[in-house]
Amino acid sequence: MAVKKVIDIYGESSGSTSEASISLTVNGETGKSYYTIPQGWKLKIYEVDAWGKGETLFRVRVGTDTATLTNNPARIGFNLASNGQLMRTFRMPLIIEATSSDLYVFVTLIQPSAVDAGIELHGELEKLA
Amino acid sequence: MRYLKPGEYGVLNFVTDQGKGIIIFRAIRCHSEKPTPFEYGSLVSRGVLSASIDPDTVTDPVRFKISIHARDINDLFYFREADYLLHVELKLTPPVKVFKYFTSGSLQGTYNPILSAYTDTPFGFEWPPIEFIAIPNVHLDFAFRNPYKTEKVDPYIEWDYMWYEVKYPKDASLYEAVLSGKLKLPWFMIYGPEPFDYNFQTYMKTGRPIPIDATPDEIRSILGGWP
Repeated sequence: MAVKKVIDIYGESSGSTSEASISLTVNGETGKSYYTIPQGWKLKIYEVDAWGKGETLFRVRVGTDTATLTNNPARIGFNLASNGQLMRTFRMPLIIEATSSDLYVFVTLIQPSAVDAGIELHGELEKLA
Repeated sequence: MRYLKPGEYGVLNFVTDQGKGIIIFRAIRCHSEKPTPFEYGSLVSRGVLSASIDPDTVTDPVRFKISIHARDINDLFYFREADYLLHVELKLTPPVKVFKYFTSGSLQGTYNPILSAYTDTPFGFEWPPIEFIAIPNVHLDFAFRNPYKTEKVDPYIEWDYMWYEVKYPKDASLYEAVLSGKLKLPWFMIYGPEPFDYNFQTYMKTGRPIPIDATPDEIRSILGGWP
């Protein structure tokens, strides 16, 4: 039987006009600058729910660099055109496999003018092997 | 994949320089009720490889070493106890082609008597999971080929294992029943078409293996020579 654990990642911000990572709440625990995928597990993101009071581009960046955000390649993006909400469910989830112990997930946003916005990722962790 | 329970018998089917044939073992004790996971980690994080494997590149044969609680172990599948066997199912993520140097220096997986296996041929490899039984006093080496065209990979490795404490019965009628097909037991290939050098008397406290076409008299004669 596969070993699994559900996960939800939520972050909100008062907005930024340059790309900035959002402080994350992971399964109720607050104040994470990024989410660390445990080595030997894969993160599967099934659903995204984003909101904003104005145009917002969200990115999920995955990589090993905690010092320079943009060194971590963006793996998926969501653009909110205006004040409102964006929900997306994936038929095939975004799966990120952590073969090493230093794989981090950053959620960033960038806006033409800074307004409140937030994003939630629903998914699960599952053992790789 | 089926692991043995205490009391069950299994057959090791050897291809060695000292002879081809079978040795029957009986699992006296197993160290766990079900296979135990060993979360080894990635090849780079354990220092087995210095860097991720480049696309379409094969590594040198490597061993699974570890440094754990101030102990350096050169090969996690190596042991010397003559009355033990280690049953392993090795899993890799992402899957890469695995070349088995079982034992060290002997690449198993030759296609036919003419076509020998090399790491750049389209045969001679296996996809994970890799199942094998480790026997005493052998080093098992693995080479990995990254089959992906764009990505470097650093495979994450984990295996399930079961230690068997075994006895090797000197029972000619048991061998006759197995070789005549009257008794069906799980067979394990040790290890492939490439023979390796193995000292049965010293390493397993048995004699040479029983050829599969041995007559009852030959079986008794060979078993009579066992220590």
